[in-house]
Amino acid sequence: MVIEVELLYYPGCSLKNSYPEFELSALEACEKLGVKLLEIPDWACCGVNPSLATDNVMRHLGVVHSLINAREKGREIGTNVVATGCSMCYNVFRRVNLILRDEPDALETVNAFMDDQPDYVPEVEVVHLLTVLREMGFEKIQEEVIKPLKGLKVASYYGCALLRPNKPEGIPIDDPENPTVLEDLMRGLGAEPVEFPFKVECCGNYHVALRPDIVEMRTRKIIGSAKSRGANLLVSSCPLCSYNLERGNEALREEERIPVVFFTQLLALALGADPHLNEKLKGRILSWMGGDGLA
Amino acid sequence: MPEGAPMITIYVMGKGYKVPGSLTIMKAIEYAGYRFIRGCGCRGGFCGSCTTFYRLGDDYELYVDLACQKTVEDGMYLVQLPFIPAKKPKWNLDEMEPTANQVIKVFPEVTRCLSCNACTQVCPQDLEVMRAIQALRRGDLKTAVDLTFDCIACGACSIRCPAEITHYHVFQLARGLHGKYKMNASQHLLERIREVEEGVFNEDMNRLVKIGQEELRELYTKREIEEE
Repeated sequence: MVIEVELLYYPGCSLKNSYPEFELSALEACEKLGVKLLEIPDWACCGVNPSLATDNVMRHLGVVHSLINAREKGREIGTNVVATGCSMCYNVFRRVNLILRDEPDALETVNAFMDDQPDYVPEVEVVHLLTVLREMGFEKIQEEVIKPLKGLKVASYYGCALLRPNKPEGIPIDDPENPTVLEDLMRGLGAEPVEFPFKVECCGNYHVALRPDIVEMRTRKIIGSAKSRGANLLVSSCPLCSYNLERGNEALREEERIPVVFFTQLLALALGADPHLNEKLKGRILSWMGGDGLA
Repeated sequence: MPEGAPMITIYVMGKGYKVPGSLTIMKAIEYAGYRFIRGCGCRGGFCGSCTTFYRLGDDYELYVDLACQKTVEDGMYLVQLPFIPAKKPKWNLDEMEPTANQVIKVFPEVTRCLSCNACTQVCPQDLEVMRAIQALRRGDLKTAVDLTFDCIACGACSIRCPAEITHYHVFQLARGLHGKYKMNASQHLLERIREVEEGVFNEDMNRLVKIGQEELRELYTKREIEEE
């Protein structure tokens, strides 16, 4: 398809270092949809955990640095929209951008401190890739599907970063209690969305570093629930959720486990782009799509 | 020393001294009567051991330069930090992969970078230090290596860093990995190593060890220097 839209793109460290399959499938799938994602030059780490103290702007500098570069690049290509695939990066960027937009003191402090860079003017809009796809229209995406994911039972796992905190407004990309954007996308791709009650449960987040037992307890519950509802796969939009869900899988017996993939991988598969799945998992997915349900 | 250089006042550890304004910080401190035992190495701007912090009069900024390179200015308040304490972890390049992630495994502090850019602002070599650290975060080992080739390991960045990164050790590992795995082996170096191992220079070396200072000095001044 001819490129129709150019958007700025923030990959984040996890996609570059730990989950290249997320980034590559996202870039290739978007290209199939006529969306070119242009990486922000010289972006910096988002900081992962935004400071909740309102006066600790030091923690926001990585985001501001990237937003300044995004704004400069955006003026060249005529856009002010930055898309990110990683839920954590989305959450941090969105929060910091809201603070800079709504709190002139914070913006002034940051700009005065970063006196060796152009001032940040908070006119960049940070969106998640799922929002981009939703605005494009899942019906339109459906028209581009060349390999419908027929028969594939997909449980969508949202975690927290796409949906919380609910206040301030402007962070959740969907109803925080009952989001449907991933299910809607999966339906558009021809898959069968599986409803399960733990789709917005927290995976345990950074407890994985010091209290992995907490993460294991929570993710086993999430996996067990999706599995009991007949899902073949869990689909995720967050590198940390995916990592933690894999820890949960490792704590389970082989037959209790469920593969975890990024939503962009299924999107790429349906659009005929490279899903960057390992061969074994790709084989299982194709056999599930074959409808025999035995893989 | 040029005749008639104007005398200016500098402050060394809080005490004022009148010194000729044409001197480098290092020579001015010696002029004032101090003798360097540490904090003075090559005197040529390469070794990074004469890191000096200073303020100028009422200016709020804290400046950093190499004492052997920077000319004194009137009202300089100086302090030398010849040594920045930093733990250097042991590593074995043979057992590592040439990736940014590998560097971060050895130096996890890299992930604490706040993007404050204090390291870049303080670098006496004008390197883009923060960009190099962030390049490692992005998985881009090559950019980190290219940006830090001229690092002299003075440590000024590390003492300013709120994330307690020891940049100069980090970059040394990055360059080591890149050099070992990504760059072509230097043929003339391999050739020279072979010659050393075969003892081609043993005779000359033994002679050098035995000759006196005078003869050594003469040989040094008359040595052949490659054209640039």
